[in-house]
Amino acid sequence: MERTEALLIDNLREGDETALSPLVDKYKRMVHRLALQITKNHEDANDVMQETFIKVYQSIHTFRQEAAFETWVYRIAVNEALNFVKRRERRRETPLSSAQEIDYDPSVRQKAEMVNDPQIHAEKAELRHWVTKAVNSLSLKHRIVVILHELEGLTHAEIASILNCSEGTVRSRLHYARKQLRTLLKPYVDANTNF
Amino acid sequence: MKKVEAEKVMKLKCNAIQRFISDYIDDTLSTKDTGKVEEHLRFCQTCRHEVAALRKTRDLVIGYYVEPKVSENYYHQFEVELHRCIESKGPIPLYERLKTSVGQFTWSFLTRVRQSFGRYSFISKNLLPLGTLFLLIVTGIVATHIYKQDVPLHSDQFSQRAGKPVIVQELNTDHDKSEVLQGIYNGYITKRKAPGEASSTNLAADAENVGYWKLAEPLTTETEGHIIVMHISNDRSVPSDDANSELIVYAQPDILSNKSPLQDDVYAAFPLELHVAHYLEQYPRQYRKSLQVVDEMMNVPSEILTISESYEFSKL
Repeated sequence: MERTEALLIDNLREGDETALSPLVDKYKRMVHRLALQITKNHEDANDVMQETFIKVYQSIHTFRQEAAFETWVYRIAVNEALNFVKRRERRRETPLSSAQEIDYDPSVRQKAEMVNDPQIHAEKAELRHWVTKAVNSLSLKHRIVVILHELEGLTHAEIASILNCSEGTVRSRLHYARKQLRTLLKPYVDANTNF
Repeated sequence: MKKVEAEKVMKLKCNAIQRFISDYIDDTLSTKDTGKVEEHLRFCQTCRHEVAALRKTRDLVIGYYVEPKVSENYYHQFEVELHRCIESKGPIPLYERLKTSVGQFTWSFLTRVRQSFGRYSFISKNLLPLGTLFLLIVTGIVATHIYKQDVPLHSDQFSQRAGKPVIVQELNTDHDKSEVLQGIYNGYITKRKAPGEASSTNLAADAENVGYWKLAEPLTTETEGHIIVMHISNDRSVPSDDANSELIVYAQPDILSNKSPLQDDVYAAFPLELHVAHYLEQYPRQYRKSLQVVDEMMNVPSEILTISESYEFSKL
């Protein structure tokens, strides 16, 4: 019988390691996506993901049920990713070497476009490239807010809880990030085409 | 009249509206603020344009940001690595759990005291002794709870619970023997040395006389946390009193397959898992300890252990 998340958390608290696997299975994609978007580096993302789940396992007894488990995992993952980025910056390494360039998944949507209209496919592929590049070029604190709000769909309150800041700060960062993105994507924003 | 209204709305300067725009396009503004923004937008083309541009920017990001691509195999590798890492780090230290539990109880207690402070005057008068008493009780309960989880039952209790495997079929032919070997791989059949047989020092020589049995209750395939003890003589040509030719193996099926200890010859497997599984369900933290026991068992030479002896040895 499948165990509910609450039961898995209880089991994990009691030291049942087998309860970790279903939780990892549920959140691994989310954590990895987040880690990769923040660190922009496969190797670091892998380390962040590992540290996140180890911390979940070791600190599960500190998790209080009144908060959502998902938000708690997000918080750990974001903190771990930020630590990695800070450490890397201290070492003055370049954030993303050409050898480590992330592969992006063009998804089924792109393949369908290619079959229907090669020109539209080319235009949209270009748009994807620039949008992704624009988001990745934002400063870390703005990028995180964009990722959590636009891509992960979290509310301002949830993001504030994860980043340990006020909702007002989240709102202002999001607004600033959008304005930055608007500048970076100006040709596409000003175009009349409805993409 | 319309001009006056427009001037009034325009008084709400564009700068003041700017800070609302992001929330406006996310639809997270209050009704009152939404009304203010919409009033302003009716008369301010610049802000209208700004709203449209930011809304389009948001939609572009949501619709066209490409997520990093990762294969399923990557996640599989990750999970294997994660479990290995957790195993190597060991369980959460007792003092950590104790510290957190006491902390949580104390915090909860202090909160309750604070809440009831005004209602019950005797609490306020006797706060210190009552608080100390409560903390002592809580610490006692927590410590007992943790102690119970960490201290295993005495081996005798398990010996009694373990009993003997129920034999339903005796197998003697070569055909049956290969069936048993196959069965071991599948984790459903086990065989053990016949009671009263010669000691393990002469196992190879006695191989033809060893009894093979099927057990009435099949071993489960969910072997995580289970122990199978096997006694094997790998090579008939090796002198039978050579202790190195005999192995005691802890096994999950995949480990068995990798080590391939059952190429031929004599082995004995004890269905400890039927009982250990029950034990581990009740005391999950003992899992790691049971693995250590198994490691120790691996070093035991040339002994076939009975079930009760195995329990005695493992001190589970």
